[in-house]
Amino acid sequence: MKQARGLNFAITLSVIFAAVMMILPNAVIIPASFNGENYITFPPTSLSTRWYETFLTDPVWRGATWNSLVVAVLTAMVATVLGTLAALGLMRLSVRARSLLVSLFLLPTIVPTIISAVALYGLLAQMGGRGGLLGIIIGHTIITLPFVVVNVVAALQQMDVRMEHAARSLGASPLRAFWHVTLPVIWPGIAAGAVFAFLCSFSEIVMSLFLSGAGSMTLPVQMWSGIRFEINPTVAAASSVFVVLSCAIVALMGFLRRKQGKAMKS
Amino acid sequence: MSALLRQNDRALVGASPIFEEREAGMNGPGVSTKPKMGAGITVRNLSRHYGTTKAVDDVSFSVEAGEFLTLLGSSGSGKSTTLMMIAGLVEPSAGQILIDGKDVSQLVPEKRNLGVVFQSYALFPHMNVFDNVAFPLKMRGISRAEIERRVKATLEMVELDSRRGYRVGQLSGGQQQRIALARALVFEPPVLLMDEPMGALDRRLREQLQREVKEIQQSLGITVIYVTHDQEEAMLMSDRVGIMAEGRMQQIGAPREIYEAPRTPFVAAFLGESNFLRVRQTATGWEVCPDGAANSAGSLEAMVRPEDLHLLSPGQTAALSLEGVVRYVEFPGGAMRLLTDTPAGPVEVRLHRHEAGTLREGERVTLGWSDRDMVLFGAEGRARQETAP
Repeated sequence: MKQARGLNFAITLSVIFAAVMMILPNAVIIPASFNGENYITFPPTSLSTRWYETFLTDPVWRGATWNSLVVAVLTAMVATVLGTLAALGLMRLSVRARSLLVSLFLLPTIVPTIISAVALYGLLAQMGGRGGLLGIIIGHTIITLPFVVVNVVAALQQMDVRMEHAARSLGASPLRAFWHVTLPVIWPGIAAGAVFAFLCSFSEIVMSLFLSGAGSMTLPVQMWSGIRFEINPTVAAASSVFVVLSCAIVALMGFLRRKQGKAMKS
Repeated sequence: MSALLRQNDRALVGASPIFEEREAGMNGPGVSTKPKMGAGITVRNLSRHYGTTKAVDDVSFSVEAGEFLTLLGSSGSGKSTTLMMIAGLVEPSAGQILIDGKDVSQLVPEKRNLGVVFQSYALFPHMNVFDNVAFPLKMRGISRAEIERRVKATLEMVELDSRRGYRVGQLSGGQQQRIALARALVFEPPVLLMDEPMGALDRRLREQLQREVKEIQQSLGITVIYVTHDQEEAMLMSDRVGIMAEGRMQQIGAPREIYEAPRTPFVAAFLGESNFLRVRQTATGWEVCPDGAANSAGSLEAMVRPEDLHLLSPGQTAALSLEGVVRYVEFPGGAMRLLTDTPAGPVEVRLHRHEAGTLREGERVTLGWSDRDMVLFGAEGRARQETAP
């Protein structure tokens, strides 16, 4: 009993520690982004929104943000379609073949991104596709595909196959059974995969560093060079926008899921 | 009880629009227009192998139009796999399935036009009651007005039209079961396949739904193939029962027939309760061989049901008799249950309360039974009906 309490205490403590470690950078960056000085300081010595102004008006930052959004949206779309199809195919295999192939699909999360990036860089350089948004989208699709596959496979495993069987027995072709029954039932899993893919692509830097060119800078690449070549508080403003946007998307996702869950139950 | 029956009568009245429509021949496009009644089904040498396991092994049977057949067996006996092969949802390794004489073995499930009620119902959670029941009609491209009319008629038949706007999750288990039934019947299939549909329901509700399903089946005249592991359910509802074990059909027949004349010791032991003894014919009649001396020449394996045994009072005789000592007496309600130790081994007895009287453990009793109530099996475990008078 006493031991259990001690263990509980230790777990609580480590969770708090981990949470603080994750939140702490934001607690520094967000106040720092409202600093009026020409360099990043904490705590801020004066309050100003001038770096947000720069972030929103400077064509370089605007371009990078736009590029990131385009890449993330297209990556999410391509990865979602491919990943969902892959998951549907995986479900038709025997349990053993499926688990084997799922681990294959997970490889991009295990292989260091830099290796995939170098490989893709070489390939794209040969084919003349380096430096464009398309290359980045291909790279990001490779990295984000596992998120979609895992989420959709999980959703499909939770679904009662008999629902699909019922649809077929009631007169639906395989395609209509998928469209009218399977898709609406596994929708939350697909959406979760898509959101993960979007967020992952939006914040990805290693692939983007290798594959972007002058005209295809993404936001993380721009932030990276912003830190390296000029310690400019615009980076702090960009990070803050980034964090808030990501949080908003995750919150929206949670909200939609809860709504969906309630609708399913009641 | 009578209130319930009256309720069911009303349910049958609710079903009448479907009949009128059938008689008027107003079936919509895409719905099979041919059968007014159920269709006959023939299953020939059907097998399904998974690697080396034979889930279903060379099963053949046929069901007449309008008949209620139950496949009864424990889990893993192959009954559900057989049903799913008829539905087209599991591909047979070998064999044929004929509906009204036509081979449908190669037909995709959506073209077989069979109603299927699944275990756990498999209702669509993202649709309300109306849309669930309307689904098969939508798939057949039937007009909106016609869908509305037919769904209403079918929901009235299962007395749930008032719940048409409800989400599936808002319904009780029994209501979900009825919706699943309505959904499988709304497109007027000639055959209804049901896979352990009552498994998740409590006993009282199950009895009520069993009666309703039976009445709906009879009023629509459709063929039903029903799968269950519940003996009582199988015996109560079916015209014929097929007993399956280890992927094979063990015996198929009317409920009383398989109960009273099981062809193998397996069927005898599987259905109801049974006592197995060895008996030998003598010049004057029958005698029971003591346990252990079983292989003595000319003895046969015999089965007698506990309720066919009686207590013999001194001086009373029966075709067969056996002395024993009561090991225990139980009263689970209904009949009294006795276990007696006899020279032929432990024997179970069911007695009416009055017949059991004040019988107690340790008392000596003489059990008697008629040779009519005894089933004999030959050396190969086959019933030897010819030796029983």
